[in-house]
Amino acid sequence: MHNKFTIVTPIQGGQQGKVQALLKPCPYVCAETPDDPFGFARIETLHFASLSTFDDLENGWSLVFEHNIDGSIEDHIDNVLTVAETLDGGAFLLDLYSNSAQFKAHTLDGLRDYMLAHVIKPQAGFISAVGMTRDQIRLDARVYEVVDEELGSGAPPATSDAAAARVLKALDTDPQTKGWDGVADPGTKLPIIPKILSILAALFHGIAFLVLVLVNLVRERTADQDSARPDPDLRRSLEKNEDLISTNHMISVVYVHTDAGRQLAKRAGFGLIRNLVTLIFRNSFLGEINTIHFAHWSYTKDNRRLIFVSNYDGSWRSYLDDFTLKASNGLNLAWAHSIGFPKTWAMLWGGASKGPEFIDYARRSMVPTLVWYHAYPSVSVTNIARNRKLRAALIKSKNGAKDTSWLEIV
Amino acid sequence: MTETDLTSSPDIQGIFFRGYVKLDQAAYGFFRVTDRALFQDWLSGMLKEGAITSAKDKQPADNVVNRMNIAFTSAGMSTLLAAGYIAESYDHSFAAGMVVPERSRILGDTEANDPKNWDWGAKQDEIHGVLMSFATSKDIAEERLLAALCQVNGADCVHRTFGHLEDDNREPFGFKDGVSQPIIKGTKRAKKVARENPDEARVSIVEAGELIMGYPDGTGEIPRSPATSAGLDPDGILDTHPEWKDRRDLGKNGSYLVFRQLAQDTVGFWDYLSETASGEDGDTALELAEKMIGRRKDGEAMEQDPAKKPRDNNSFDFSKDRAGLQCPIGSHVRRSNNRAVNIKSEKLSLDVTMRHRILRRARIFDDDNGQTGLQFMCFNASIVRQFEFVQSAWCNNSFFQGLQKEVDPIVGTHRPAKLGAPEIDRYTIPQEPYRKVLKKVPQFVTVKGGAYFFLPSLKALQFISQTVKANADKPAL
Ligand code: HEM
Repeated sequence: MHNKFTIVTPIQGGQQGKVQALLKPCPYVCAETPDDPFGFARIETLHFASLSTFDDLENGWSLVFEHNIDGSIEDHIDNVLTVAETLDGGAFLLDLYSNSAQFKAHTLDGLRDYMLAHVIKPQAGFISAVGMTRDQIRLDARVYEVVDEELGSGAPPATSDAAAARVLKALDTDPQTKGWDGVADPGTKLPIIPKILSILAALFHGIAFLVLVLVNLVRERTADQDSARPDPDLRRSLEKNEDLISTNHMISVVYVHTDAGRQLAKRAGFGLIRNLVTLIFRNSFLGEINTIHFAHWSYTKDNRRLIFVSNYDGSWRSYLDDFTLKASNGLNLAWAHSIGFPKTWAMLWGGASKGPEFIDYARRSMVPTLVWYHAYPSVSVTNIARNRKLRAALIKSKNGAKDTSWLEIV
Repeated sequence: MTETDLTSSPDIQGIFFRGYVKLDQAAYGFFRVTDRALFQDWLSGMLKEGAITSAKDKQPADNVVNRMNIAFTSAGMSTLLAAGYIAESYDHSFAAGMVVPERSRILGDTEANDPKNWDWGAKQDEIHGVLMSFATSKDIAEERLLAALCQVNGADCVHRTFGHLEDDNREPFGFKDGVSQPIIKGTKRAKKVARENPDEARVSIVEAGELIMGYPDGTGEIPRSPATSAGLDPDGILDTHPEWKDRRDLGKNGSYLVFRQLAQDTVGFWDYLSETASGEDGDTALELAEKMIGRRKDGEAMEQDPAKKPRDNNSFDFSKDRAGLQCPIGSHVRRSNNRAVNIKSEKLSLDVTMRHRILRRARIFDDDNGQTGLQFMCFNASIVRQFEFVQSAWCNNSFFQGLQKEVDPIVGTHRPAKLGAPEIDRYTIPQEPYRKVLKKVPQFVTVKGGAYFFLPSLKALQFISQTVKANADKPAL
């Protein structure tokens, strides 16, 4: 089971510069980067993580710590702290959080409670590799590597069967793929009870949504749209950390309207997204979008700000292009009734479909990602899906199946 | 779209619509403005003489031996317009310039393509504009360029390069170039294609606003357009700006021009292919080269419908070749315009890809150091959405359509393993029963220079040439 969440903590007045400076030296972390003060690469439950800060007109600065993980939130936070303890006795993490407001007990136990108290679970989100642990993604990738290497070296095998035999032998002997056929794939099927519950929930939210859309129609059409161009300095500071590798991260924090009518409409919209994603998008891709690893939307505790985080393949520009050309209705469901958002109709039409305005809105709403961790930077969403299929087919092959059509997807 | 055919507009610079194929020699003078007022006087003189060619001047008659066009960088526009330069109204990549670090990364101008190895353009703000001179001989092209530039007391010529067209429009690897181009809706050409070859029309015809400012684009909106202060335009040369009513529209009938000097290792290319091809069963150097480009050498499409005659060169859309068995998924032509197979839905795919088309106008250079290659030029209404998108989201994306560890075999930047991502230097050729992978493929094309320009309309040029005077007349700007 996956979990995705953020820990949003207030920063003491005037301390944001110190927090940003602490995080600055390690903008991007993977298993190989030396600067990994969090020890992300050692946290076995972690797929993606990020840290950013944002400012708020009323509350001042906050630190957002995003996690996309295997297993429960509590276990994961324990892992984070255990790794911190072995790294440097927790000094770095405690130093970072010593800048947070209301963090009194400067011990790792105290930090555990503090983090748990500030966990925010998402309203809705998307995960491409449904059911797959980080380690399965990595194992599948190694299986692909071995197959790729075997088929690409020496004289090509004369027949498909010969190719299959060679590949299976290589997988069994290569130390990288030890036990490759022993790890079970949990599959992507939704069991029947959760399925029924999701259908009912989708219906409930759908009906509520329709009613609330009507209630809010006048406010929706009369709300102000902000068409300013993004600040060039902000844009530069964002672009500076993009495209370091072919996968990217973004975080956006917007103000939403706080009147009950629009808040409820948004809740219904998110309920609808949440359940539709659970029911429909279980096979790696979000409809026609095949580049999102993990993404989610959440509200700050006071419901005034909406945070969106995403870990996606390709450039930011092509990601946003995907949104406006392929998924504008879904984006509107989530982002409509945010202050300054391009004008929508019934929270579904307009809005994100207005390319340049929407793209500017998204840029204006972003804050720089200060630290970002990616557990498997060598594979894309599409690669992960292919590797999964490939290993499944190879296990069948090992168990005697004659079908060698998997060769086509290598 | 207006009813009049834009291809003969007196306001659009000629190079936009014409390759000037009869004027097969070109000289490009990159200049830096040193005295704004003197430069504007010169420009005004050039315009009065009719020395800057518009689209109205048809393909040269026999007695015409020279045509000239002019374009400016953001540094040039801001120097010439001073307070009338409104940075936020331009495409942000144009405003920043091609060589700021974040653009370099987006474009893949890293490793071998790093601007520090360029012959020109690496110094931000050094180049203010380019004067392009096309002629029937290199001597005339150069002579006219120098004559024009030497008259300008207000500018220095920073760098000069020459270009030419080969017969049949071959690029230096030997392939026919300029086959697939977007065609502007409403033009004679578009009407002809629509009538004679609807399949080609479907993958080629774009709204004018995709390539030129001032007209609706693929979304039905007028594209964003550079603006300037109304105060600098006392005579009302320019129209009111479509977005900011208190400003003037500097962009109408203009376009952004991307200029890249791309050196091609032609010997290395063919040597590598000869060494790699087994020579058996169609596995020849030529076949391999065609699989990398994504077209036959003479311009024919890889994807052919056997029932169709004559053989196709531009009405394909890859939908019958999703797996890339005929035209590899990673080939240059397929990466730079993946037509109907960007995603599952063919219709939506075309909607997507048609928003990322560029109008190419490349010539060939041979320089004194023995380098040859393309002077790649293209026009688009948004550099970010079109040229940069093609270059970064498609050509240089190592995760393009499920591929891994490889980029465009022609224009991609090869990279060493870093930050947990693998080395990027492969090429995959889909085939039965399983794909062939070429490893450690050398990079054959290297960027040697470049800049982003804005190609103003003739009216906008006239406006630019009088801003110092306008400002002097109206000090209370
Ligand atoms: C030295 C470098 C290059 C060479 C040798 C080259 C060569 C070619 C050739 C032979 C074709 C096929 C003929 C045609 O359809 O016109 C082609 C097509 C094309 N190239 Fe390039 N090219 C180069 C650089 C670039 C760059 C830098 C870009 C843009 C990022 C680009 C974009 C395109 C596009 C958009 C097409 C047409 C694709 C289509 O619509 O089917 N090329 N190129």
